[in-house]
Amino acid sequence: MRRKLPLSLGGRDRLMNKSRRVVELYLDDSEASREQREVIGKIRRRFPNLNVQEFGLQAPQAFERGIFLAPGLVIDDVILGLGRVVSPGKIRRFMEQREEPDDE
Amino acid sequence: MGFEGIYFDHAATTPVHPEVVEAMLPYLQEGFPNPSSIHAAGRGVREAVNEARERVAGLIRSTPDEIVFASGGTESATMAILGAAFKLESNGKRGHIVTTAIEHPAVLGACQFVEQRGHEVAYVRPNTNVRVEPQAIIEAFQPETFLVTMMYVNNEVGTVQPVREVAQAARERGILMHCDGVQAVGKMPVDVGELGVDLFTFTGHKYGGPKGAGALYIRQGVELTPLCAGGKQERGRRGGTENVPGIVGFGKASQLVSVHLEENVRHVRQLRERLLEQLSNISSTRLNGDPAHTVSHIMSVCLIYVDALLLVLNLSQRGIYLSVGSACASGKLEPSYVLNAAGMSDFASFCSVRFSLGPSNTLEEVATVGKKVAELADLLRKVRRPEEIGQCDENCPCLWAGGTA
Repeated sequence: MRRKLPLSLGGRDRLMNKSRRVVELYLDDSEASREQREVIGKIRRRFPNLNVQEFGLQAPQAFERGIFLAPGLVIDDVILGLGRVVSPGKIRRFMEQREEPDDE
Repeated sequence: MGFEGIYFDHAATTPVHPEVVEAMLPYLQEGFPNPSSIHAAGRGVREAVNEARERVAGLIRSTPDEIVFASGGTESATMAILGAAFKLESNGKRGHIVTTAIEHPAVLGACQFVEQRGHEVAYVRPNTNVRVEPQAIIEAFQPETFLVTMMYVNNEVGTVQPVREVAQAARERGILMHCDGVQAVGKMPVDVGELGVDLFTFTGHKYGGPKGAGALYIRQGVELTPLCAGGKQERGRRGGTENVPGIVGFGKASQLVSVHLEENVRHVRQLRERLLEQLSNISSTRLNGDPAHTVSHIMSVCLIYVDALLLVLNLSQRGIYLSVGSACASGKLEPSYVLNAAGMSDFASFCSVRFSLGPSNTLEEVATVGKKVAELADLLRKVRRPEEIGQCDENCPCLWAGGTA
């Protein structure tokens, strides 16, 4: 059984790629999931170029990422939250880190 | 097709050695007959099982007759604990068992099961270095104590427990001693006679063998009530058609590791030292456990203010496989009961990851893992609020129950 790795070692890791902003939300029908969706809604006002995708816990993407608790939050291939709501501040700090200019 | 990624989770299971696969294959093909059959085809397979038994016995310096094959470590430990309890019950009695609070869930589960049947169980806590003091175990003995069960090496932190001392005290008092040796066998020399135990659990998938085959050493003269009583296999001690390919693989893995044990230990020690060097470059990091009594292949590291589960999942995304002690139960994340038992706080537990190395790992892999762990730890720390970070370092009281983060 060949298992596809979402990221290869040293390959197309978006950790180092600042141009795309992809947000993956892994949700169920819990209050926490609703809250996480709202948080992302607020974040979009600050970062309008977000590509937000929603998945359930049974989605293949959830399996590949290892997300087994909702809400799950992945931004640019970094898993930032699992099983609890990630605050707007934390998301903002992550996004702003990624906006820092490269050192020459 | 080959395994992709860097596997640093050898305490969970290990890659099956190619020679083990080769040894097993015939018993998935032409070697299918039942080893209990009286015809020549069955007798041939019986010989393979006997040879495996000798190899497995050789690894722990027991005799082949003292080896009972089982489906793995969990069944083996269950056979020991329930078998001893049921034997006592057959005389109309209930008794007392001493164990530790840091045992594997298989042992704790078996102890909790016999508690429900009316036996009493004492769970002795370790010190803050995740090592149980032998005197604490001995002081827990009561006149009704019929069994003490303790692990040799803790699976989460790697601390080596004082089995020899406890076994001697148990023997002097006529108390049966069971030792869970799953994380020790194949990683360090083991001699069950010299250890002084009566019952000893181990399994081959921790050292290059297949899953689904383990063993219980039962010292000659010790009697247990069998759990699978319906067949004559394993001299009536564990009925059921044998998992021949698994047992053959178990035997082969035992033979291989016997030959290569010293060089494996040396290699893994070198990897550990290099990994420790790498991790020491990450600030606010603490090695959990007892540095003087820890096996080389397991390291539990507390990376303060790094969410360990997120770290492990992000590393997994990048093809690096580690483990955490905390667990998911009923949709909630629970802290490690092992670290909690040692007095560590939930905060410390949720920041702790386990690296477990094996002979197949390389220094290059250690370098890659060190680098990626540092990168991700830095990123995960930075997204916390500055006031969350506080002034904590590896000596902070917040790592211990009753402290604050």
